[in-house]
Amino acid sequence: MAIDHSRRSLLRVATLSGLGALILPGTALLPGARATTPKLDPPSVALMVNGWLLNSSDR
Amino acid sequence: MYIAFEDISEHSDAVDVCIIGAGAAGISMAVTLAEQGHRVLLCEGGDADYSERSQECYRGDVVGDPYIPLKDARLRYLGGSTNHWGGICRPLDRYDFNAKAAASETAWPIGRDALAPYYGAAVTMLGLEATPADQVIPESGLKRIYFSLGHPTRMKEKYAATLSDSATLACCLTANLVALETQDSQVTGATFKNYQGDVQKVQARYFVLACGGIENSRLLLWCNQQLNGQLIPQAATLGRYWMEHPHATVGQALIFDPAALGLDEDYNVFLSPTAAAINSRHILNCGLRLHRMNAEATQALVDEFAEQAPALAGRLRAWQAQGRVIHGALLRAAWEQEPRYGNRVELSDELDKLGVPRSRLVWQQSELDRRTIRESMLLLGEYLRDNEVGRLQLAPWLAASPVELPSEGELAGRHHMGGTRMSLNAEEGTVNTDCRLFAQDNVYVAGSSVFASAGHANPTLTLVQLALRLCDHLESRLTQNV
Repeated sequence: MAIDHSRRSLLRVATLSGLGALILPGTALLPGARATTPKLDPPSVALMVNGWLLNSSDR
Repeated sequence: MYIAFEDISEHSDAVDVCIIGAGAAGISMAVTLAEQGHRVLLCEGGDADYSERSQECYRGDVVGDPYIPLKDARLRYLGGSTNHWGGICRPLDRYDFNAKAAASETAWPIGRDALAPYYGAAVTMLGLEATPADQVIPESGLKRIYFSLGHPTRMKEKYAATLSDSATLACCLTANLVALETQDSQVTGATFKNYQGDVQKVQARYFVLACGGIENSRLLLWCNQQLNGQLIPQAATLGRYWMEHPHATVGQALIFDPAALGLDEDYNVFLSPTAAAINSRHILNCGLRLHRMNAEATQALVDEFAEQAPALAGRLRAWQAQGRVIHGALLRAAWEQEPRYGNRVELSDELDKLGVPRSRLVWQQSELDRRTIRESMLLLGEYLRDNEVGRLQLAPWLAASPVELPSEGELAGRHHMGGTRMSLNAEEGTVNTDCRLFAQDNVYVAGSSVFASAGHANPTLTLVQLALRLCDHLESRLTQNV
């Protein structure tokens, strides 16, 4: 039986859902994987506060 | 030997060099030339000790920025301002003689090499300590510098025996120059007046004016005015390009790595920008002095710092708890002032008791002067911060934009420079590279008034070097009889 247009659309949706099922567990792991790398501080910025020449990290 | 005022005309018949003014420059020259066997007459306007009748002649007006009253900014008696100076000395930097990127007027017509041969003799004459060579602090734009900080030499005491006993040196007190005579590009006589109004005329082969960084200009302006410009026909720069070393307390610092600056061993550390930093930041020269604070003052500064930088202050306290020494430092500075045509000594309308117009000092600090001290402090502050050596706080007036210079306090170092600027031609200065008036063959100027620019170092060592160099020049002329 020839697949009509609507059936093809349904299959595409089902296939994408299947891919999604494969992708989602991977994406769900990303935050955990990221947590194992050192967290980068925002770069310290030179600033003057009440006449003191500081780095922003001094505060 | 000392001679009485009424005897100087008679004595002057056989004088080789008449030196007018017995301060650091005048006494250095008188002693040196007399030791060489030349007949010297040293004329001092003041008395042997401080007297109000003499000091009062220094009263004058100041126009422009706040400045120390002229009467209080120098001393007018035998020995001059060496009677109250602090004895702090250092030669000018080599690059002080060059045109700086920010102001080409800083160029001298001679280099430091011209003064180098007189360094040792000047150090001996002033009784200075030997100092280590400057040390560049890597990648900071700064160098650690050293001053002679020993007991200040009082010239009238150190050379008392020569002044009283030398057969070739005659010293006359209360002899105040009031006029010069000139003929065919030679000064043929000088008129002196004492406080009783008595007048004596002096003749000499050579005359040296050594009255200080304000009086040299004042007396030449007055003598030139009386001679309708015959003494100094091209007088456009006479009295001008006058300079001081502005002084101020400029901030404070916490030093976590005192060994990086030497503050672990010394209570005072001096720093100045390198030539490269001076040119890249478009500033002039500057001397920064770090005074190490005691433990109590340091702790108070840490507490104050904690309000602005709590995270770092927490680390400092932890380091202190572990036994690491943190030093507080008070920062003071003396910096080079831009040589400007508008800063000048001129004659006021009021006469002193000798009939000489009083001085009027017109003095203002420029935008470059303000930039010099601010950028010098930023240079140090950035070095401390970026290398984790410490943190620096600018004084409130220096942190303000625009910088508002203090109107009270130290203000300046009482270092009077310029006014009879050394130059290559009469259009740009008053004396040539031999310190001789361009238009007179036998008149010289000694002292810091001939400085073309000021650097940041106290001027006495340099002016004595110049005075001793002038002695060599006169010795050569006297020997060759020219």
